[in-house]
Amino acid sequence: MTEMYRQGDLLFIKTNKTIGTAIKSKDILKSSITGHSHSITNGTIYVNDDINWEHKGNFYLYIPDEGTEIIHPEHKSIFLSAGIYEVRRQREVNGYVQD
Amino acid sequence: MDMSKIKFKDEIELLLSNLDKIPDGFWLRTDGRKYQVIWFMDRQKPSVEQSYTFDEERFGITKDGRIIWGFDSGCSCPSPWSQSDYGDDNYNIKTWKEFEVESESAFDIGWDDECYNNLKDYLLLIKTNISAEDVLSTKNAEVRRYLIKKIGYEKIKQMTNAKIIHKDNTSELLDLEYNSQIERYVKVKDSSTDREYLLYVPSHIKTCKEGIAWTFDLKEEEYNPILET
Repeated sequence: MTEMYRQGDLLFIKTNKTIGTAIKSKDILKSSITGHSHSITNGTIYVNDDINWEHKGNFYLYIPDEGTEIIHPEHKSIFLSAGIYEVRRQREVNGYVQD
Repeated sequence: MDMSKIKFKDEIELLLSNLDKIPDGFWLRTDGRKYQVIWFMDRQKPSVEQSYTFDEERFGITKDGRIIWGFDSGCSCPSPWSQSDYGDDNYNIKTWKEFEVESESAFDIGWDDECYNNLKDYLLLIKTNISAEDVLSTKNAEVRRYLIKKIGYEKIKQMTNAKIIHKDNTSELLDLEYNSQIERYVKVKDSSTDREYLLYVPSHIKTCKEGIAWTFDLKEEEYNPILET
């Protein structure tokens, strides 16, 4: 069974692949309504430059041996152990859950 | 009011006079003929995305309903004021009462979809008589969540002749009817914040878990998070 965790409207799915370019930011997604971000405390975010921020296949996390916390001002933190995770964003029929 | 085309001064003021509460202030930043809504998260300075630059045309609508002309680049009406007249280096808004738009010429503001949706969402947040259509046509789930809380989830169900398809712990899968159409939603409760959301899912969804799985592009049997917060 695939290892996965959900924080708010983001799902983190353990995978064995990485796509994209590493970015400096520790913020995975920031809401333009609330200004709140889902952020990592450790590790690297990879962005697939070929895809606009779609609900899947766009963001990956590389988490080193020490693991990372996924933090958000309104949600309890999640600890992710070492590995690579695909980040999926919750969607609706007419678009994203949050902008 | 047809918000697809707003003439500058008169209609904006008419819009404001029909609101229950005057916004603290929001800006429309132009980029050629396209506009984006920007509003201040707090009243001291804009958020990071809404960086405040001074070489673009914009105007602001302030708490007391005055229209403040922004900059004069590309604008049909020259701005009579300089930066220092309305904001300091830290972007704090000064009081505006002494200013008033005197220019008689107006220009058509074209709204692209994103701009229209954002402004519409913002105005919904301060509207008092909210309809089922207001709630369900809002694309942003966070704004929708706020509207649901404002008028009550049970009220929404009454207004939309809700038909419950499936129930599961704190979730409900239901069909809601408005404007002669029926849409299927899954109501979920966030375990961290206790907030309730209505998420629009396809009509073939049969269970709450299937609906939630679909929102992450997974099948029901594939969706098994170890932890959810």
